[in-house]
This record gives sequence, C-alpha cells and structure tokens, in this order.
Amino acid sequence: MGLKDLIHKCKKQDRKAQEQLYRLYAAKLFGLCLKYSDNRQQAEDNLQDGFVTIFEKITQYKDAGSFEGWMKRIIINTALQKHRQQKVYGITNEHHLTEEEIEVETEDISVDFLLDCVQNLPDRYRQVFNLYVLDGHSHKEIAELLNISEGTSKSNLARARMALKDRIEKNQNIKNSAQSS
Amino acid sequence: MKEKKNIDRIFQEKFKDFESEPRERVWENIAAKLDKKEKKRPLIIPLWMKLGGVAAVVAVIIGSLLFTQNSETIQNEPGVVLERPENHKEEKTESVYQKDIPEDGNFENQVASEEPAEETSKGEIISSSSANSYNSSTASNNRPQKTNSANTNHTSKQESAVAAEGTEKNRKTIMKNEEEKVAIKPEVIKDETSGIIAQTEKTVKDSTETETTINEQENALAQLEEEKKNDHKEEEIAEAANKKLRLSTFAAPLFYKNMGSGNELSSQFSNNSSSSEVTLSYGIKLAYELSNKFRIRTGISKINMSYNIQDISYSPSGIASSLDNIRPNEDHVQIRSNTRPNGSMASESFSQNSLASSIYTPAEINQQFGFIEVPLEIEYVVIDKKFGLNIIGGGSSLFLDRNRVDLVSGNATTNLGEASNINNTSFSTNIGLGMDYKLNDKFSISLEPVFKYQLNTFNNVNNVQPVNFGIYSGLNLKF
Repeated sequence: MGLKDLIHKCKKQDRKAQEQLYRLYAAKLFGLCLKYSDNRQQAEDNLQDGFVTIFEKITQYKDAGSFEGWMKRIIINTALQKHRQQKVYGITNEHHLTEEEIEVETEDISVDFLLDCVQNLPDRYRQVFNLYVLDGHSHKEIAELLNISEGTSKSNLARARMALKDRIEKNQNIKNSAQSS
Repeated sequence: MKEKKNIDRIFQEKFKDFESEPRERVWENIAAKLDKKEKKRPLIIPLWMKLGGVAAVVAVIIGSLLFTQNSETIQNEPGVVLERPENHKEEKTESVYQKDIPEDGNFENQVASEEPAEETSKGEIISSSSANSYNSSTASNNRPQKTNSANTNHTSKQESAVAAEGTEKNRKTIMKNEEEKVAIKPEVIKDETSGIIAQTEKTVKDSTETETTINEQENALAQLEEEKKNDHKEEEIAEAANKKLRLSTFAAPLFYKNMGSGNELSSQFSNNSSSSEVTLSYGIKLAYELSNKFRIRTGISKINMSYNIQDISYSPSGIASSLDNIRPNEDHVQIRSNTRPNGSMASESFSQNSLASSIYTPAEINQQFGFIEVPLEIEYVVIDKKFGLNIIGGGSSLFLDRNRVDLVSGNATTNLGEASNINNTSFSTNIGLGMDYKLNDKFSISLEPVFKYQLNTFNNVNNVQPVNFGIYSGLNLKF
C-alpha cells in the first residue's frame, strides 16, 4: 500500500491504517521527540500526543509538500507546546553573544551521549539548538515559534553550543585520563 | 588522530538518521485516545445493524397501525351486525303505523352508541304515540310531522357511525311516509262525509290500536334487548376463544462472541486469543396479539456472559495494575500480554524485561458480566396452526448488574476488580425465529433461536463487536 493510500485511509479514521502509519514513522519521529525532550518518558508523551494530533488533523493535510515534514512540524510543535504549558523556562540572559565557530575534538562520540547532552540542556537552549542546527529553521522562524526576539534566539544558540562543548570536552577529558592512567 | 570539528556538524552528522523505537504502549495509548475521541463523533454503525434497527422501527410502526385499525373495526363490526335484526323489526312496526318513524331514528342512535337504554326508548314510544294520535286525527298536520320525523331521522343518522345504511333506511322511511299519506287522504275525505261522530269513534279506535302497537313494540324491544345481550355473550365467547395475551417462561443456553478484532477489556489484549463460556439466560415474557399476523412482546430476563483471555502472564508487583479499564481491587499484581502485535517481539522492551520475564507466571483473565435485559420485540406470524412459526425482530435494553474480572492461574483465582468500561445501560438489536407447538388451547411450548447484536456495551476499547446467540425454550400460557 502506497503512502497516499495509507493517508487516504487514515483520513477516514481507519484504525488499521493509522497503526500502519504509526509503525512506519514511529522510530523516526520518536528520535525527533527525544531531541526535544528532557528524557525518554517525556519523549514518549510527546510522541503520543503528537500522533493523536496527526490523526486528528490528517484531513487538513492536502498532499502538498512532504508528508513526513508535515508530521515533523506537528511533533515539534507538540513538544514546544508542552514546554510553553509547563512554563519551565529558566531566566534567560538577554546578553547577546556573538556567533563564533565552536569546534571540539571528535573521537568516537556516541549518538546516545550526544542525545544525553542535548536532553540535559536547559529547555530553551535545547529548543533553539534543535530548531536551528538539527531541523534547519532560521532565527526568524525560531523567534516566531518560541515567541522570543531573534537576538534572544541567537544568544540562546550560542549558549547552547558553549554548554554542549563544555560537556563533550569534559567527557573526553574523563575518557583521556581513564586511558592514560 | 583527533580532529577538530564544528560542533554543529558533529550533531548534524550524528543525528542525521537518528531513530529510536518507542515502547509498545505508546501506540496503545494513542489508540485509546483516538477511541475516546471517536466516541464523541457520530457513531458509524455497520450497515446490517442499521437495517436491523430500521426493520425494528418499521415493525413497530406497522404493528401500531394494525393495532389502531384493529380497534376501529372492533368498534364498528358489532354495530353493523346488531343493527340488522333491529331494522327488520323496525320495518314490521312501521308497516302498522307511521309513528314508528321517529323511534326508528332513536333506535339507530342507540345502536350507534351501543347503549341498551330500554327506559328512554319506552318513554319516547309513549310520546311519539301521543303525537301519532294527534296525527291520525288531522291529516293536514301529517306533513310537518313527517318532515320533522325525516329531519330527526337525518340528524340522528348523521351521528351514527354507519352513514351508508342510514341514508338507505332514510329513503325507505320516506317512501313509507308517502305511502301512508296516500292511505290517509281518502280517510280524511270519508271522515268529512261521515261526520264528527264517526271521526271521534275513529280516534278512539286509533288510540286503542296505538296502545296495542305500543305493547307490540315493547315486546319487540324486549326481544331486541335479549338479542343484543345474546350477541354480547357471543362476542365474549368469541373473545375468550381468541385470547390476546400470552405469558411465557423461558431459559436458554447463551453463546457470547466478540465479532471484532479488539478485546473487551483492553486494547493491549487485542492479539490474545479468547474463549467464551456458554451461560444460562432465563426470564419471563408477555406477548400481546395486535392482529392475526403481529404480536408485540416484552419481558424481563437475566443474561450472563463469561469469557477468558488467554496467554496472559502475571507477576506480584508493588505497582498498581496498569490495565486501562480495570478498577483494581488488589493492586499487587502486574499483568502483561504474552503476545505482541505483528508477531514480532519488541526487542527493546523485551530485553528490558528479560530478567523480569522469569518471574511472570502464565495465566488467563476471566471476565464476567451480566445484564438485566428488557426486550421489546415484534413477532410476525408465518404459520399459526398446531405448529406455529414466526419471525422475531426488535431490540433490548441491557442494564448492567454483574461485572467482575478474575485472574485464573491453575486452580487459583484472584479477583482483579471490575471493568470500568462497561456501560450501565446499553442496547441490542435482536433478530430470531420462533417455533411453537400448541399442547392445547392454553398451553404451548416454544423454541426460539435469537441472535442479538450488542450496540454500545463497551467503551474505551477498539473493534469490539459483542454478539450473543441464545436458543430460548419455554412454556407459554395464553389467557
């Protein structure tokens, strides 16, 4: 069954088709959820709510543009919405940092470790970092999505990079010292 | 060698095809949430269920139409039958004297209202007879009297239910009036010639004659009354022979089956096999004969369902049972399904549980629920002889009165609590075939295979279509 067929059936709320669609995209979209969440549990909640929204709004999807992209937007929005509801923002420092190239040494860094780094970022840093770096949104888009200024978006991104770099380097130092001893 | 890389690039590369399998319960939760949302949407009812419902409604409408028509004919028919003998009597008396005409009208009124009012009719006879003596003395007064009588006849007949016969009779009486008018006229001429003495003699004679006719009439009336009574009795006898009510007691082995692919208790057991047990249903029914072809019936009965979900395992646990639709009594048991959708074990969750799996004990879940059923059904009679055959259609209201979920492992049974997703009131559409064998006028035995589709018994679960099939056997009493 083609994707179009599947979407068509999902529009009719065919439960079998919905399950098939879910199984087709669950892993990919769960990866997305993991990046935007503090932990696995939260990611599962987001995935769950996101899919419910997808199945509800699938009638509004008009074969224009990538279906995967459409689903991703819903999932990301769901995740962002959660944080808006939870009001978990820390007080963000509005002091704007200039963008600079941050480089780190890369040596067998596992994706699990990187995920852990991202998940441990403060929510706002994580959101900006994900949106800008991993999901290709511009600062302007991010500013609109998160209801912040572009400047705040830029500074949050810079702080996120710094935090990630610190974490990665610290980890590598531990590794190195473990190796040398 | 260590190489320096832009931190953005590192993340982009690593997360490019990042995927991770969520746990199985995520889909279950999604399905459950969608189910809840679906409840709010208008129900999508399977076609045959719709047809069943429509058939039931049509049956009720036809039944009620027949019932109302029937009651009308019951009112009409005896009226028509009763009138005929009276008409004959009436004509006899009419042939004697003209005075019968107003009475004739009164009679019809009486017939129409079916009131055997002997006294009033007598009184009217007296008054009309006096009018008649006056009538006979002066021929010239005959005309207004006649028209009057014709008028009263007419109005009284309008009131009566049988209009056609009334007008026919009207015509007859008018004809008679005219005949008599002709008969009286020569008398008047005679009277004029013979003088006043002769006339007085004649009036005396007339009055005596009227007296005798009054007596005759009274006799006729008494006869009529008797006939009426007899007719009434006959009717009663006829009614007694045609008993309208039927009381039945019945019992049935009941087979319960879920036609849908889902599970009644929780969508997480959708892939588990289940087996239902045959249970006993019993109750009483009261049927009323609407017509020769239709009977309407209701009653009250008890039905129980019981089935087992297989391939379950459980383990003692400190965490409350995590099944969606169970209100737990004891929360120290953790239950899981051994089957996974798509046949493949979700490797991730399985490896997590690999340690725990050793302490899970295989078991079954037994779910029991029972209802008080109040049906409303129409029977369409196909054959009504010593052996009878009828088609049954209708619906039932089901009131939940038993609800229990048990964990069965070997010989041990643990009560898990009750299912929270069974509606207190639900409905079913019923269709079946009734066969009966008449033992005598009063008693018959019956056998009815009836198929019932339960409409909204369960909520919060998906693809559950419970049906039950019972072969109802019973003893019927007609009265």
